[in-house]
Amino acid sequence: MNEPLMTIKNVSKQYGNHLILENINLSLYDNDFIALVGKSGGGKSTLLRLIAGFEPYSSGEIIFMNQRITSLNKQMRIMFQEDRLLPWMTVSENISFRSRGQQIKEKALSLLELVGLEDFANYYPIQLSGGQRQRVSLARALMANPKLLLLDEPLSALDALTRLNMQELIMDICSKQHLTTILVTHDVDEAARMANRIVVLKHGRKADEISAPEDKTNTEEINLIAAQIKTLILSD
Amino acid sequence: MDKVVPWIIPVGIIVIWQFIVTAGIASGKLLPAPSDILLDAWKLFKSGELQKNIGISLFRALLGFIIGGGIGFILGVLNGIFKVCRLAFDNTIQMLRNIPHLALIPLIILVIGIGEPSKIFLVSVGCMFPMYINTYHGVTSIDKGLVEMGRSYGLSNSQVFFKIIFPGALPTILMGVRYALGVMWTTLIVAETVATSSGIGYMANEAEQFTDMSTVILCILIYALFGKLSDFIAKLLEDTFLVWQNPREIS
Repeated sequence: MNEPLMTIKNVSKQYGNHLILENINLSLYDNDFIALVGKSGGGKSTLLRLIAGFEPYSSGEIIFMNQRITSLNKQMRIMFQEDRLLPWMTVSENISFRSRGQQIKEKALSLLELVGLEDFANYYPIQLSGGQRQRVSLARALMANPKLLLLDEPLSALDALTRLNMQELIMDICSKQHLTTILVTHDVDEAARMANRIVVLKHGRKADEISAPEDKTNTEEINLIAAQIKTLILSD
Repeated sequence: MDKVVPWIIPVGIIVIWQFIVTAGIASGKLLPAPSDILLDAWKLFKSGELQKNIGISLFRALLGFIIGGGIGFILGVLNGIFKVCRLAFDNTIQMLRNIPHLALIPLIILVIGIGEPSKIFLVSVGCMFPMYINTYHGVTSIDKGLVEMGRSYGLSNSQVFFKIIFPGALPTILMGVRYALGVMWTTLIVAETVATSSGIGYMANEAEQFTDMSTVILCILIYALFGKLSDFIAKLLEDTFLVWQNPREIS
């Protein structure tokens, strides 16, 4: 097997005396799509924040592209649960808000086309629906050509139909652009449908790692995996 | 229609006022007719007195606003962003803020005298606190998620300020501007009435000595017009910089 893109070795996180994550081990390879699932408070979002470099881990280490993660990394981009668009900037400005220039503008427009919002470049976020705003947020995350895309429950606030469309869009983009992705979700069906590996976190520990079906059209197998994860999460 | 309706009441008052005085219902000596006030304004304009005093008052108001508003803005930003500044300054500012600034007039006259600096100082003090409070509130109310997003997307500290904190705080800062402009005129009126030898307030004070009601009312009307002008400028700033809050025209 190739060298892992990221290795998480015995990572623990403690807030005061409260242990949130305990000895997490995980390897991530190019083009992996990993879903972190578990109950609320299970530590999945905390693990994502440690990977993103938002917070320091208490022990262990996270190695990404042969470098220890100690702070925010340019090769990663995160998509949050809320769209976090800047309300005073237009859609295209939100995507290219880090820098200016004709090339940047053109790239922003091509990304808008990729997420199907090419006609909304001059709109303000307030004029968009929740699903459209998350599409803009996805385009913004792709702007810097990240090696690793971190998704922190970005679809949880969307309605069922928009959510399905967004799942398709993310899967399509990640596969076409060969993006390695980590998705945090509490929706096991979403995890089974989108990811190729599913990591179940329980009480801050890695309870299991399950391979998801490669054929994403095989709904029967996807449902079976989802049921298996549900049982695992709910068991004591 | 939207532009005409707000002017119906002011114009109506002037027409009724003119009628009451012309018909002899009210004494023209105590309440001069609007036409008499206009004539008085024309006389003062021809003598150069009106422009001179308006110019002096405007200079005091604007300079005081720039100095006080500027200091309030800078302190608001610093205290909003840096905890060490907040700890050092906020407590003192909150104590000073609760002293009515017009109560400082006797002290200022004694210390600085009745020259220009005393009036500019008073206007500055008046404008500083609304700007401070609103800027501070705007900066500290910024959605922390947006700042976190900016940092995770590689923005430097100055980019976080100019791209996220400042535009995010702008609606509240402009509210401070609007309020400070109101305080600016109130303070100037009082300062020019109590201790001065020029300006609109002085003109009104002088006219009062000679029971020249036309000039007294003219001065009041000038203040009202300046107040309206300030409001117009504040609204213009909001319409220009906060178009994203109501972007119907854009789409």
